[in-house]
Amino acid sequence: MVYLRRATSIVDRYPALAGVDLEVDRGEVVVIQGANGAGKTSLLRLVAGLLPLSSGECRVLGEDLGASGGTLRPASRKRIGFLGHSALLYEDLNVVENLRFQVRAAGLRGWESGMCHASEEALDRVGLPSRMWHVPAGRLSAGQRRRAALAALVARKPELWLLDEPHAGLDSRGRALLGDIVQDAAGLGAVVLMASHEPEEAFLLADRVVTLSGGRVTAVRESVSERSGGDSTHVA
Amino acid sequence: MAVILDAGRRFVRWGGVAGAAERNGGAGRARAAGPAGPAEGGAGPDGLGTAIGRMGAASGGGTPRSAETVGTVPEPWSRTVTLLVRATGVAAVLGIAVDVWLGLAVTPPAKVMGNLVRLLYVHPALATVALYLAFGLAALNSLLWLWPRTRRPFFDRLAAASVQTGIVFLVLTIVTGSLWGRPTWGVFWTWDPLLTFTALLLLFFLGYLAVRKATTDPVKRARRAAVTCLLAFIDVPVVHFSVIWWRTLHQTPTLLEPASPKVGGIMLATMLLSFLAFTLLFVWMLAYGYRLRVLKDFAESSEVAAALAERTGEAEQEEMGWGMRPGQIERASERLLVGIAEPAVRVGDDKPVAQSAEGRPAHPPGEAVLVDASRMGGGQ
Amino acid sequence: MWRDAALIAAKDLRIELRSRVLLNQLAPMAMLMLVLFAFALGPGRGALVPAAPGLFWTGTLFSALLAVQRSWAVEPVEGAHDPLHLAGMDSSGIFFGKLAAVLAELLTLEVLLGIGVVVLFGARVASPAELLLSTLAGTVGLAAVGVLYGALASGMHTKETLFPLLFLPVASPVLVAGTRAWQVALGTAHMGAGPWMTLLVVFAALYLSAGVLLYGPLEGTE
Repeated sequence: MVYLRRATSIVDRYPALAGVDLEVDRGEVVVIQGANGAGKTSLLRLVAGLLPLSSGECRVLGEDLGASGGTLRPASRKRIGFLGHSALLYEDLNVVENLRFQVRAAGLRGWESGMCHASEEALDRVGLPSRMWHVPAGRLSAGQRRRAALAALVARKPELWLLDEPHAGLDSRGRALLGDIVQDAAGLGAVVLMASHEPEEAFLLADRVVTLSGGRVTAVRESVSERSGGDSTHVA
Repeated sequence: MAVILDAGRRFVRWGGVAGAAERNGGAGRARAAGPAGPAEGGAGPDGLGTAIGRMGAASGGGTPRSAETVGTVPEPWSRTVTLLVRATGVAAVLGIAVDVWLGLAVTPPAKVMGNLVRLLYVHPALATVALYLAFGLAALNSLLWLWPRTRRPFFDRLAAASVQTGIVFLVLTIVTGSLWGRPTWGVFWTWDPLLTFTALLLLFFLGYLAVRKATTDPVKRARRAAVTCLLAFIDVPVVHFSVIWWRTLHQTPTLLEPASPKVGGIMLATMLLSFLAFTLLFVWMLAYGYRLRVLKDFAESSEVAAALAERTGEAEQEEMGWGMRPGQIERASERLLVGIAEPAVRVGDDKPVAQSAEGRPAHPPGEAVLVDASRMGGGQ
Repeated sequence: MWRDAALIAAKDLRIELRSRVLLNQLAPMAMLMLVLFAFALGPGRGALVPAAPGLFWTGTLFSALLAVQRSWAVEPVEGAHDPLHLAGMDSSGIFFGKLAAVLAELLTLEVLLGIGVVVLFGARVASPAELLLSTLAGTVGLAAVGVLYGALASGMHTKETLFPLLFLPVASPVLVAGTRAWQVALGTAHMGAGPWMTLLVVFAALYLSAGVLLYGPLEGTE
């Protein structure tokens, strides 16, 4: 699903990624941790097709990024759900309209009949109260925006989830919901790549914890159970 | 005359540098072969390939050097190219010198225009080179860069050099045009179609350079610049007709038509020579503009190589829990560039160390943090 | 492609309907410009009527500048093209969608400006067909070239200053040709409108095809 080998990404003459090796299979949840500037966000953006692949290999959803000149085909992009630092919502549109736009843009079959439901179900799922549904996204609080953005992913049902600091701004209930959502997605065979500074929540979800440092993978730990073993690790 | 002498001096100096680089012998030649030959062809458009090629060439020469010390001037041209460029330069300087002599001393002043006619030996040639050669070449190279099969840094550099040289010629065209206009029309600037057209073209060129300046990433820069150039280029015929009709369809055009002097004999020869000489001058300047861009790209790619080395250093520093010692950067960068990336260290295997970038141990609450105190001395 | 275009156009227009930025701010500003021109050139109609076509197209040109900038400003920015890119939109679809929305906004503004020119300056329309055709062709060209340069500049830090520098010189033939065509249509100049109409149509066709061909390569990986 996602395969990187010595992937380097040079952005504005800065090596954001300096040779990343990573392989993630269907149904896996991988948490990426590392200090500020270690390359977590860059890794997610490379996989999302937003950063160029400068050298090395990168395959996403069966598409070779090197072969296509560093860009993903629109068809592949539709199968990827990206939750960035800032929720990508149109401020002047209300929550439901934002969701419908994203769902329709993803071009899911049958959106004409069922997608309005999907949007509303998704909003229910992330626990956004229905009185917020018709409020312009610009008037939501940071946590609510994050929930709305998450709801868009839930409604789109992507095969590859790229979550950049998904816990930021969420309350404890929101975090629990996020955990459920991620586990459900993985259960259905989706790949989840999550950059996180929140060891507690993220590690509970993770099948694997990957540590980035200086734009490279410096440590990999296989499963959650090892966490209780008392190993120390690079945490920042 | 002083200008020509100065140009000649500079020419000799440039030639001297090029010659010295060639005389460097083995290592020098290996470097010279770099960007002009396989490295340029094989490099991705990002400059990283060039950096890797550079590092390889440098370490192949014997002493391994870090990215910072590979700063010796690379020679982008082979001996043949250097000779050709020099020959062009000599021909251009000679041609202009002869043209100046013919234009100022040999040809007679015209009956109506007086000495003003001598501008005829400068202005049309400048305008032709600027309007057709420079813009045409820039558009062609932009197209070749955008076409995926012919995408080479070469075309981007040549397009940029072409526009930059073209600006010099365009400004000179406008200045000589105004000098012509003052006695002929009584004003420095008139809304003559060709003048307006030229001024708009100058704005296109300035926009192109602004786009290049405003983008740091080499690939993005090349892409945006190429699109900018083509978008402006397809506008040229439209602008041309709009400004011509704008004048001619609206007001009586004959008012501003300068009395065209009869050109023949020695005057024609002088004029033709000026076309040849200015074209050669353009080619010569273009070659050095291109060369400048190769060197700039080299500087950028060594910057990237250094940044890569530093980035690897970051990882190493955290793994080891100490600062970089002299020599480590070099080793790290070589390892990275040669492609022998160190296998990922599994935490828990042998050396668990907690060390955040700030030098302050950070860890989940309640977990033991093992820090090997003996390793902390180095760089902290 | 057309589905993406329709989706984006509908989205942009809905945002405009909600926020009313162009309608509540740009339209009054365009009208204000007409009033200011009247102060500068008036009050007699002797100078205003011949200048009316030029004022109309200058107003349209600057409105296009602001409308295109607004069109890219509403995108939630995290690296320029991200939202539409991430949604997996077809690049030609993005171009035509943005183009359609900008075109609709500009045409609305032009109706207001046109009424203003007729009412305030007392211009008389001699041949409405030429007026409408030249306005339509000119506006399509302006919107196409505007959206292209807007996309080019939107990923850059200096977009506010760079965009006008790129857009205005290239769009200048529309100002020249549009003004002449309007002069013919308003009966203030006696010449054929044919060449000007051709020029406007060719300009629009050139930049529509440039959009189809160059928009994809332009976006690439941002």
